[in-house]
Amino acid sequence: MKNTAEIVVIGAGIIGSTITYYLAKEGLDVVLVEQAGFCAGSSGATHCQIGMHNRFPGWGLDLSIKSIEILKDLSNQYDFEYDETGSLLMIDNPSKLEWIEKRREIQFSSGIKSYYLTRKDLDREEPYLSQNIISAVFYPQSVRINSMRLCHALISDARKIGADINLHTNVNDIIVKNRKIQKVKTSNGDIYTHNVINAAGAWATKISNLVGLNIPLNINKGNVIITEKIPKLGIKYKGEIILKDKKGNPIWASNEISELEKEYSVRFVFSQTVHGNCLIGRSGEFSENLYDRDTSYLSIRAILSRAIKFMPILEDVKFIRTFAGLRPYSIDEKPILGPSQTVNGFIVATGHGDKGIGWMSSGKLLVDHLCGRKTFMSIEPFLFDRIENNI
Amino acid sequence: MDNSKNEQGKLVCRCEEVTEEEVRQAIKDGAKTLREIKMITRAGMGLCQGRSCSKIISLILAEETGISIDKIEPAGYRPPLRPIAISALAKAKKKIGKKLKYKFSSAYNE
Repeated sequence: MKNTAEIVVIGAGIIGSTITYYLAKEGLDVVLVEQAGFCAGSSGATHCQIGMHNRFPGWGLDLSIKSIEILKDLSNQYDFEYDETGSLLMIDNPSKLEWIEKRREIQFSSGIKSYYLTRKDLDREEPYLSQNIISAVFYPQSVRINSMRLCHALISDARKIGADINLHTNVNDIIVKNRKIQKVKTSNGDIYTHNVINAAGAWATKISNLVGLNIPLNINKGNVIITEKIPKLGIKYKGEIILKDKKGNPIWASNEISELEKEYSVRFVFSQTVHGNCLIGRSGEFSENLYDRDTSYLSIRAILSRAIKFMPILEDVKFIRTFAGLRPYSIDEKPILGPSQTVNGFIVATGHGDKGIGWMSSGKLLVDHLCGRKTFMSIEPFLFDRIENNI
Repeated sequence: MDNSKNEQGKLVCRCEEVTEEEVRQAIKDGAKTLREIKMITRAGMGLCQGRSCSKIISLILAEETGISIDKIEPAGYRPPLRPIAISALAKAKKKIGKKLKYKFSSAYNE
């Protein structure tokens, strides 16, 4: 491990890997430190998809569009199972049709394409769906990737162009003197540096505590199920949508939601990888314990009971693995990007919630901003200042 | 059995058809744990979830890196214990008194 660096990046998930890659391309002397393996946190426990069905005009859409552009470009160099699957929103409640049409119109105004599949279309193209599905909306611009392969490719390339990569290395302390960062103390030794990027995802609060700050994050745990390989089941990315009331509480768009499904905030999402395995989700539980990555029997049961309501064919499919991931939401659900105003050299890149993949372009946004380059969109909405001033 | 003349090479993971050469290459590319080898090669992602191959992959990893075999941790235990039909849980009706949790031991948890 190097003992000096122009900049140290903490975290080798999708955000940290992206940042390290772009910093290395800038020719900066960067050292990456990660407590576990590459993509071992939330980025390794995700459905790995960018769905346009849930995007609306604004910064979230802009980040997603740029991410898809970056990923499409990278897919020409690296194989991370980039797949232009599109996404299918299933509708099983006729009372919601008007709302869904309104959504479509707003989305269309900012370039998000979609079109309806009628019940007849579904009989032909998606025969595996429950007959309770009355219609569906297809969003052709959605994509899937393999986040593990992407992180591995970005880190390997960064390493080739000079970045120092240190996995299985804990950050134990960050020494600050006269409000300026002096060095990072790790389990493998010290790195003298004046700049640290905190891309530690769910662990970002812990890292911020080392410099006397406290980034508040809401951690939400989700479970995912992986099935055996099966032949292609129609569109490789589909799910239901949730309508929210004025308070932000979910109103289930479906006719029947069980108590168990409600308890685990289950929203059905299904996707199929290029290999044929299917990922089924999704659940959400508020979590305080960063070390609790257990999959609970009840949450798995809740996800699967909802899944067969939409795709009865899944009943006979076997599942081979389950896993859980932590979604690190910032308090206003916007990513947090940018330098601290109180600790010189401490830069934040976290708070992506459930959209680390969809908003991976934020890594490039931050690097361009730090290097004084023109940015593809304004970084203003994400600056750390808005949180730091209220800590 | 020497398969060195076989185009496909020696398979260490039958479920995902991963060869010994691919595993060794992943280690040369920096993989130091079973999980990393799994992420790169897919060895251990199949139906048996590493039950057939993890032992031999551990031996290869120990040989290539000098890490002691007893220090090599598995890629992580997760339910289900073996492949199980989705209907077994999806249609389960029995209420259970307390939440069952499966503790797993993972190479990447602190």
